[in-house]
Amino acid sequence: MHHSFVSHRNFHYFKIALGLALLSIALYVGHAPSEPPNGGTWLGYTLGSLGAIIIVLLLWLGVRKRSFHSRLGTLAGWTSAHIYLGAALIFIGTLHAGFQFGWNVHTLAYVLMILVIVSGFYGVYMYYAVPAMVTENRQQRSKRQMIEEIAELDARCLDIAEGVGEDIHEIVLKSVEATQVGGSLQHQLTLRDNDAAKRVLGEIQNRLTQSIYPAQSQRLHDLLEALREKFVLVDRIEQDIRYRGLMRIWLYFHVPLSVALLGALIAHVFSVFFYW
Amino acid sequence: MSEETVKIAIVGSGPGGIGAAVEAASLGVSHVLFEATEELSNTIFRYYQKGKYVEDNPKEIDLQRQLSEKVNFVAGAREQVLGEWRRGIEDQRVNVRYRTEITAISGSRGSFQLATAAGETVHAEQVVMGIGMQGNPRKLGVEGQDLPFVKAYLEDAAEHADKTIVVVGAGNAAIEDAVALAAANEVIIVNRGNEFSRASAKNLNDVTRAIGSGNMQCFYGSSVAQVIEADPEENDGHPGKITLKTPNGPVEKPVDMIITRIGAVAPRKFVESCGIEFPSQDASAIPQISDEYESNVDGLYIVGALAGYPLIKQAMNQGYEAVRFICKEPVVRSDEPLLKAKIKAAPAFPTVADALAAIRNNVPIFSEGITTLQLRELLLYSTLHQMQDGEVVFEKDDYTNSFFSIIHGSVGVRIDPNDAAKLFTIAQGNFFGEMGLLSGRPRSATIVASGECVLLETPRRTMLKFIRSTESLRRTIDDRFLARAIQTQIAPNIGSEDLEDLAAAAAIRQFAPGEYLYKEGDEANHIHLLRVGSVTLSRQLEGEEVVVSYLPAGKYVGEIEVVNDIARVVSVKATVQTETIALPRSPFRRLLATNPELAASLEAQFDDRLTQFVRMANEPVKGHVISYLVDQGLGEATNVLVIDEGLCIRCDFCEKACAETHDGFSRLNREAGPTFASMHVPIACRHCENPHCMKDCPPDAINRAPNGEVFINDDCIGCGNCQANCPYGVIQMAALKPRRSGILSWLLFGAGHAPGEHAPNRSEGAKKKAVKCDQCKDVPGGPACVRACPTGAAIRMSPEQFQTLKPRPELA
Repeated sequence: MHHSFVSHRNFHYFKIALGLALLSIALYVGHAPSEPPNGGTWLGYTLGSLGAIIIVLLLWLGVRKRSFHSRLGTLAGWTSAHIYLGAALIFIGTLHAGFQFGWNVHTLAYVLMILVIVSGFYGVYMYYAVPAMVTENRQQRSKRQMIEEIAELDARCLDIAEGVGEDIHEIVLKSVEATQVGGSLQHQLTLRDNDAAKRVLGEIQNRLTQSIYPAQSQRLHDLLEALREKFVLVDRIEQDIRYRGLMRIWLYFHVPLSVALLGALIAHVFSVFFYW
Repeated sequence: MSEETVKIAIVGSGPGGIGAAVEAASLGVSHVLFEATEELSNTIFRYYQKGKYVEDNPKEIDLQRQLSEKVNFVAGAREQVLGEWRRGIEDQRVNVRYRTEITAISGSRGSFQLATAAGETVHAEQVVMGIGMQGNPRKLGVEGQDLPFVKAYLEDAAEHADKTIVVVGAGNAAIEDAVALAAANEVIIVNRGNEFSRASAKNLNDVTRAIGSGNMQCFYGSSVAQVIEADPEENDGHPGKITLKTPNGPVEKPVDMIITRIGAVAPRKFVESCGIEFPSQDASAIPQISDEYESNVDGLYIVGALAGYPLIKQAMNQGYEAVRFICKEPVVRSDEPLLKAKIKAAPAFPTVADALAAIRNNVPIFSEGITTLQLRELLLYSTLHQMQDGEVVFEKDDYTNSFFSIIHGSVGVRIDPNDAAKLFTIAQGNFFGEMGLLSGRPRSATIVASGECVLLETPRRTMLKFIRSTESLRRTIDDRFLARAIQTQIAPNIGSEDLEDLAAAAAIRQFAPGEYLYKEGDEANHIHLLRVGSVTLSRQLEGEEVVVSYLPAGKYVGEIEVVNDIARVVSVKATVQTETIALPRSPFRRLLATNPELAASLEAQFDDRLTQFVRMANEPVKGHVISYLVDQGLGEATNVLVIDEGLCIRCDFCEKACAETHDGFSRLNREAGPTFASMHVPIACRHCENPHCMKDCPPDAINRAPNGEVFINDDCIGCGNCQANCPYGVIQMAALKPRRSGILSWLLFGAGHAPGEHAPNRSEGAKKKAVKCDQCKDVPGGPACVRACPTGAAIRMSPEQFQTLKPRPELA
């Protein structure tokens, strides 16, 4: 009932993929062709066809996951099959090539396949590791709630700042206006120190140290608290954006590479049959 | 002193009396119609509000055609109805004696003496009594019931404004008063039950709308505990204070007026003085009458409410029919054609009379204390099934809730889901499916016909109404419920006789949410069969209470300790309002002593349960997850969407798939809702045991499919009651959206919107309807949200399966 894509149906697709890989190896080892092992022997053709079918099947995931009406298994099952069969391709593809590589379209297809698979492994790791971090970072709040909370804190900071003095109000207002999350791709995927925040906190801390009126000190203290709380929230949203980016960015390599692989694969098959 | 002797004396000019008098006059029989006041149908004249719309229920039955030609009755304003009756009485030259109250009736057929309040005596050969019950309203039965601001009826709602008024009752009269008053007053309606099951469709609509919009406050499952006079100066200017007993504890309200619309009781003293017997001492008991409306006093007929028929049309028909019976004129009962159509389904019964006789003779619960007339009514709303050997009546886990009685033959209960041949027989005359009357949980077993059999299937609502209106039946059924519950749940192989001792000692117990049935270490005095609600089992571990199991209605707890004669090994707590059948220890142990087989089977379970307790105790986080889920209100759920956030990649495919499957509108909100140990409960329908949303749906558009999904059909009128009633916020009002283009045309050519992408409404101002999860009941392959989850994070499960979840303690 409660199974991840990794353990789906008690590792059903893992077993199939393992079987295919072992079978390929066994056949390859037992195979004694007259020429050096290559894609042109009966085993080469067999492994090649198998590999091509698997590649098409794996590519079909992109269609299947958007076919919400499809009755062809569950998407978790498809993901599970995608991962394990994809991994098995390393064996099937390599043995199909018979370890013959060169500067040609055939090797290009092979290299693309390996790149797709490696990027896929990275994706699996992300899917495995990141979701729990998202939950932990969220602290039971939705993003919208966090943004609303920030807006409330901003209002509170401005309120307190107004009572402290015009210059402080100016600083806080600037800080509020400068608050932003997300941004460029690099910005989304990396965590940076928030220098502006540190500066604002530092300035107010200075004021607090210098303050001699208890009422003023209290206000400055409250302002510091509220600002700190806000910056923590901003960091959490930044972190959330980063996590989401991490779960997605690899697809920007995985998918185009897959499409390139499909192109190279077609060229490979076409050239094999027509120009060999 | 008058010496005249009439053939028929009719007492009371309500609908029954009018039907009888008009027919007597048109037959040219000597008669007299007595009315105590100066108005025909005085109770309707006085107690119905001005302009009140009088309904013509039951819709299925027509007014006798011959009668309707002389005096008609169609739904309409109170004034129109009364006007038509006056016209009929005058046209037929009915001999009416106004202002003549009958104080005593004596004698029997051929020689009745009716004494009037003025001291006169009238002689009659037969008497038709149509005095009804409305003149004798039921009282609250609590302290303060006779205070001046406690009234039994409302004359004119327009006389009241800016007051706080409590209306007690859930029938049509209560609703009409409450709705009329709510326009200008703060109105609180107190409903003893959890729904307005007796209300007509129109009233149900009105009251639920008023409650839904916040115009009226309703306390369900509540009753009046006390009414006291208060000093207005210390009571916000109100003269009284009412204390209500509600499921959430007592509630006190200052009030200006209390209207008690809790029905009426028979004017028993007078009726008994005429020689008429009541079957029991119950306040709600009514005299028994024959097929021809004759009471135990020869020649004295009773029609209308006093005979158990509170509706106007029924009473008029009965008055008409009673007079025709007296005059030996042919009578075709108004329900006869409908019943004839019903019995076609059971060729074993050629005539309606055969079917009725078979029900009465073969089914004990319908043979005592029930009149043939009631039986006719029951049959009218029920369905007959003639079934062949092996035919399935219902399947285990079906969510149907009708009640079955075995009129002929027998049925088998499949004890072992894996072995269709293992059957426990329920013999002719018994009933089954009774759990459906109490709890919305799925059927506990599959029932198949053994040999040819004839079954009577009665809808839940009809059966509840029937049980409510017949006190004796209510007890019989309650007693049998107990015996049957024990038999089916614990001891399927033990005969009813052996269980009598135990059943007699059994008691029904109620537990509030969070209340303990018992605690670990307590003395074990009872076994509890859960009949409504659910419980968690927990143990103390290092000073902490750890949940080790969850059990829904239909299961039992507490047997381990009773069987083994030890103190309680677990604490058991009700998660929601829970009702159990408590079986005391000593009769149960006596039963065990005489049934070693039963003892052995219970002991066999002992190990299983203990092993499970120990396993769960070793993984306290699992128990914490169960208690957290129960805290989310999932104790009353039957099927829940849980998302493992440790796997959820936040792709929102669940929502997209939902929208794609259901007219472009997602019925779940993935992100909203709490999370514990990575187990997230999104806002999505959990298909409650007794769905709150189903309580007040005017067009009855919310239904439960046989496999449990609660769904809304196309009859939805968009009133929003269900949305207001759902405590979990899972129902939304949505305008439906267009279907989109195919995925490949989008993928390859960029046509239309992406699958799952937000699309604009079909048109501005499109009609909104209530939408909620229906578990994709029409979609082969099951819930789209689960099928579309790429990582297996989305899980749909029943609460019993919570312990199979694999929580992440680090996120607890």
